[in-house]
Amino acid sequence: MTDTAIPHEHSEGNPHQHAGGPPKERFAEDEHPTHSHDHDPAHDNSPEAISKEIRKYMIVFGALAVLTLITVGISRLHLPTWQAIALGLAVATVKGTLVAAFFMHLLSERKLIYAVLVLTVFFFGVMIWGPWHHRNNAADVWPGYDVNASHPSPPTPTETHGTAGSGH
Amino acid sequence: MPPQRQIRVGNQWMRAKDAQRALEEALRVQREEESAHGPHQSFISKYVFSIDHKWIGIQYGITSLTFLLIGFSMMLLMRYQLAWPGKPFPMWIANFLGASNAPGGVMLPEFYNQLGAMHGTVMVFLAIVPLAVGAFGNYLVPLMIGAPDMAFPKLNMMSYWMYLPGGLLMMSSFFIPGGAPNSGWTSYPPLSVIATHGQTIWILGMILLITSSLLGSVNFIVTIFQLRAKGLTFMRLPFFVWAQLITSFLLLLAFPPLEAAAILQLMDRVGGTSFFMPSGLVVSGAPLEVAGGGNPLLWQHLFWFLAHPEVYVLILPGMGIISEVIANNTRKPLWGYKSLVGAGVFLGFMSFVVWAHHMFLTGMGTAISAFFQTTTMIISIPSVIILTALLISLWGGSIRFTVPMLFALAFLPMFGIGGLTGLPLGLAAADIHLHDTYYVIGHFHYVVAPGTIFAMFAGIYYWFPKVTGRQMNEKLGKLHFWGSLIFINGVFAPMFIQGLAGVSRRLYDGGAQYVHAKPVLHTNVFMSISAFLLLAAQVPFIFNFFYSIAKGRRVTSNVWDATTLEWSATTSPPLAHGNFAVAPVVYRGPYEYSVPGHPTDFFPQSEPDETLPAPATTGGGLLPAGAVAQKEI
Amino acid sequence: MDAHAGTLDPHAHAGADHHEIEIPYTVHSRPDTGVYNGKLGIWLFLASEVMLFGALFSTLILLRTSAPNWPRGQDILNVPLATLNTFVLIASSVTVVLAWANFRLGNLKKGKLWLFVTLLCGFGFMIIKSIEYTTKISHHLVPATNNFYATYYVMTGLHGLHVLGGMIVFAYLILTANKWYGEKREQFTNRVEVTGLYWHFVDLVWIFLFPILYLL
Repeated sequence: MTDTAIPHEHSEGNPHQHAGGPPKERFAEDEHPTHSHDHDPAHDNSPEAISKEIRKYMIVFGALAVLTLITVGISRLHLPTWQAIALGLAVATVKGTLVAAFFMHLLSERKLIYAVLVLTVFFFGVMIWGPWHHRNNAADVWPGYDVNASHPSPPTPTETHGTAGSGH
Repeated sequence: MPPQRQIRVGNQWMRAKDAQRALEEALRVQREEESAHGPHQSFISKYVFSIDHKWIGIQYGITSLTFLLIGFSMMLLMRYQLAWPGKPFPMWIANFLGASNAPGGVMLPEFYNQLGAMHGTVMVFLAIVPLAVGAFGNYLVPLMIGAPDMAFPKLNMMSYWMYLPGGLLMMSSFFIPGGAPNSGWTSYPPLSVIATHGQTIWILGMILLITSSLLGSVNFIVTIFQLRAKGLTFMRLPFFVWAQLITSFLLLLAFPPLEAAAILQLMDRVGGTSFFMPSGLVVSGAPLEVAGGGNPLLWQHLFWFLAHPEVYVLILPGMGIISEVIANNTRKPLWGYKSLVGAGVFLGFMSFVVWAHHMFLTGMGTAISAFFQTTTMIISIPSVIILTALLISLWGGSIRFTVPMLFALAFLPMFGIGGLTGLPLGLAAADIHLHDTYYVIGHFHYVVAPGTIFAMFAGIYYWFPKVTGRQMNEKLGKLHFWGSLIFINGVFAPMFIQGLAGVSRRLYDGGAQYVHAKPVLHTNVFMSISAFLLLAAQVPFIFNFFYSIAKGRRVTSNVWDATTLEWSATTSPPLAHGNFAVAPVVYRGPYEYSVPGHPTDFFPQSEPDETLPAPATTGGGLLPAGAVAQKEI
Repeated sequence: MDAHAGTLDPHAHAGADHHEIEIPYTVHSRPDTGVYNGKLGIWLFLASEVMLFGALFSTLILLRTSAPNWPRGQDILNVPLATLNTFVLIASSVTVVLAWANFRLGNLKKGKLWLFVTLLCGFGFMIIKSIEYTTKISHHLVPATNNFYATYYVMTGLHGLHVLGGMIVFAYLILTANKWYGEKREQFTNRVEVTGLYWHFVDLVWIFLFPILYLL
C-alpha cells in the first residue's frame, strides 16, 4: 500500500541533499574571466616570472645531462646484477622525477591530477607484481621445460624428455 | 472513471489532449526556428560525423543493438548444435552458412569454435559495453549533469568511428579463409598464436576497439569533473553518473595492458616472436620453429588484468540504470546513496586486484591463490551492498509497475543469483571442480543476460520517451518482459546443473561423448528450446521499438515525473544545440521524491525552492525548462 | 533566487550560429578542480599510457627473470647512439617548454621557432633509431631471433611510434600557429602546453627504457 505520510530519509544527513537554495561552492567567476586566476606560478605570464621559469628549465636540463652520463658510467662498472638494476633504476627515477616535477609542472599541479597519478602508480605496481610471481615456476608447470632465450633451433625429440626440474 | 488530469504547460493548466497539441505546436515551431536560424549543416556532418553527443549516442545504440542481435543469433546456432549434435540445419540456414561452415547442413566443429569465440567477443566488446557506455552514457551523462555536450565533442565522434570499423573488421573475419577467430574470446596462446588468420583480424579489431574505448573514457571523466552544472556537487549526482565515472576509470586504466598484450600476440603471429611461445612446442608432430622462451601465462595475466575490470564495466552502468528506474518508480529516494557511491568506488578499485581468480588452475602456488581468493571474497561485499541498498529502496515505496520497473525488479534477484554463483568460483578449492565447466557459463550469463541486458531493456523503455518524444507500447512491453524473464531462466539455470556434473565448456557436442555428462545431457534440449522461445519473446520488443519511433504516443517532457536534469530541465527530445535553453542550476539531490509538504510527489533537481516559479521565457514557443508538472482535479 | 536561473545560456545561442557548441572550461580553469579540460584530459591519457608501457615492462621483467640466459644490453646494443638519442630527447623537452613560454609571452615567431627545433629533435631521434634498426636487421638480428630482440624491438618500436605521433602534432601546431594565435591565442597556448606534457611523457618513458634495455 502506498503511504506518502511515511517520513523518509533524504540522505544520511548529508546537508547538500536537502533543498537549500543556491550552492555554497566557490563559483568565483563566470565562465569567461578576463584572464586566468589559477594561483599557479606556472601560469603567471609576466616576463620576469617566465624568465625565472626558463632559468629553472636550463638547470634541470643540465642536471639531466649529467645524470645521463652518470648512468652510462655506472653501467661501465659492471656491477653485480641486482646492484646494477637498483642503481640504474634509482638514477632513472631521479631523472624522471625532475622531468615530471619541473617540465610537466607536477610540483605545482592540482590535487586531482595527483590523485589520478597515485591511483595509476598503484595499479602499475600491481601489474608488475602479478605476472612476475610466475617467473620461476615454469618448470613446475611443465616439467622438463627448458627456457633458453638464445636458441633459435628447436630441440630434437630425444632432448624433450630429458632434464626434468630445471630448478628455481 | 479516472480523475481528470491537467498538465501545466508554461503558466497554464490544460487538459492532456490540449497539452498534447501545445507540445506538438511547440516542437513544430522549434523545428522551424532551427531550420531558419540554424546553419546549413550537410547530411554528412549532421548525421554521419556528428559531434553531438545525443546523435553519437543514438549511433552507438543502433550499432550495438544490431551487434546484440548478431551475437544472439550466433548463440542460437550453437544451441541448435548442442541440443541435436550432428543434426543438419534447416535448408535456408544451411545455405546461409555455406558448405565451408556446415557441409550438408551439419555444423563443423571448427565453425562451432568460431561461433563460440565470436559470440563472446561480439557480446562483450561490440554489444554490451558500447550500449551501456557508448549509447546510454554518451546520451545521458551530459544531460544529467546539465552540460551542453561532452568535453571533447570531436573526440567523441572519433570514438564512434573507431568502434564501427573495428566491429565490421571483426565480422569480416567470417569471410576469409580459415574463418573467424576460433580460440575463444580469451585468445589463449599458444593456440591463438598458431590459429588461423581470423585471429590476426581479432587482434587488429581489438586494437581499434580499445583505442575507441580509451578516447571515450577520457571524454567521460573530463566531462563529469569539469562540466557539472552550478550546484551539482558530486554527492548530488545521479548514481547513474557515478556508475559511468567509475566505469570510465576502469576502462582507462585496465584496457592498455590488453592493448600491449594484443601487440605482443600480433608480433608472435606475424613477426615470429616468442613472447608467449614456450620452448619445445610440438604441433601436429613437428617441433615449432620459434625461438621459444616465452610464457603463455603472461598472456593470461595481461588479458585478465583487463578482462576482470571489464566485467564490472559490464555491470556498473546497468546498476546505474536500475537505480534511476527504481527511485523514479518507488517515488522515494534511493536508500543508502552514500553507501551506493562508496561501494561503487570500492568495487572499481578492488576489481584491479582480483584477476588471477581466473587462473586458479595454472599452478600459481597456494600463497598467491590465497591472495586472490581473499580479494575476490572481499569484492563480493560492495556488490552485496549495492544490491541490498537497491532492495531496501523498495521498502515503503509507491511502486509503479511500469515496464522499466518490471525489468528493474527482475534485475535484482537475477543479479543476486549471478553474484552468488560467483562465490564458489572465487574459492580456489571449489574452483578446481567448477573451472571451465558450464557452471562458469551459467554464472556469468546470469549476471550479464538477465542482469545487465535486463537493465539495458529497462533503460530503453525508460529513456525512449526522452530520446524520441514518444512512448513505447506498454502491453507489448509487458509481453516482452514476461517472455524474456521466463525463457532466459530456462536457458541458463540448467547450466549450473551441467557444470556441477562436470560438463566442460566449449564442447562441440555439448558433452555427448562423456560418461559423466550423460545424466544431464537432456538439459541441452530444454535449454535450446528455451533459447528459441527467448528469441520469440524479443519479437514484440523489436516491433514495439520501431513502431513507437514512428507512431508511438507523444508525451510531455517529463513523462515519468522524474527529478533528474535530463527530465526536468529540457524537452523530449532535448534541444539540438546545447541541450538546455537555460543553463540549469541544481538546488538539491537527485532523488527528492515525496518530499513532505511539497505539492507534487517529485521535486526536480533544477527547480528553485519556490514551488511555482515564473517560467523562464525563451523565444519561439519552446516548453520552458523545469516548468511542467501535473495535478489532478 | 539564484541570479543565473532564468537567464539565457549564452552557450546555447552561440551554438546556434555554428554547429560547434562552446564548451565551458576549454580555455580557462574550472575553479573547484583547478584545471582546464585539455589538461585533465591529457593527464588521464598519460595515465593510460603508463599502464600500456607498464604492461611491456612487466613482460620484460617476467621474460628476463625466467630466462637462464639473457644477454646484457650493453654487449649487444649501440650504447653511444642511444646515449646521443637520450640527449636529443631531453633537449627536445627543454625546447618545447621554451616554445610554450614564448607563446605565453606573446612571441609568436620565437614560439614557432622552438616548436620547430623540437620537431627537428624528433626527426633526429627517429633517424638515429632507424640507423640502429637497419644495422641490426642487416645482421639478421630481428624480433624473431630471440626474446631479447623481441622485447627490444617492441618496446623501442612502440616508443618510436609515440615519438612519431608527437611529431605529427607539432607539425600541425606549427602549420596552424599563425591562424590560431590570432583568433584563439589562449586556447592555442593551452594546446601547446598539453602537447608538451605528452612529449615530456615520451621523454620520461625513454629515460627508463634507455638504462633498462641498453645498459643492464
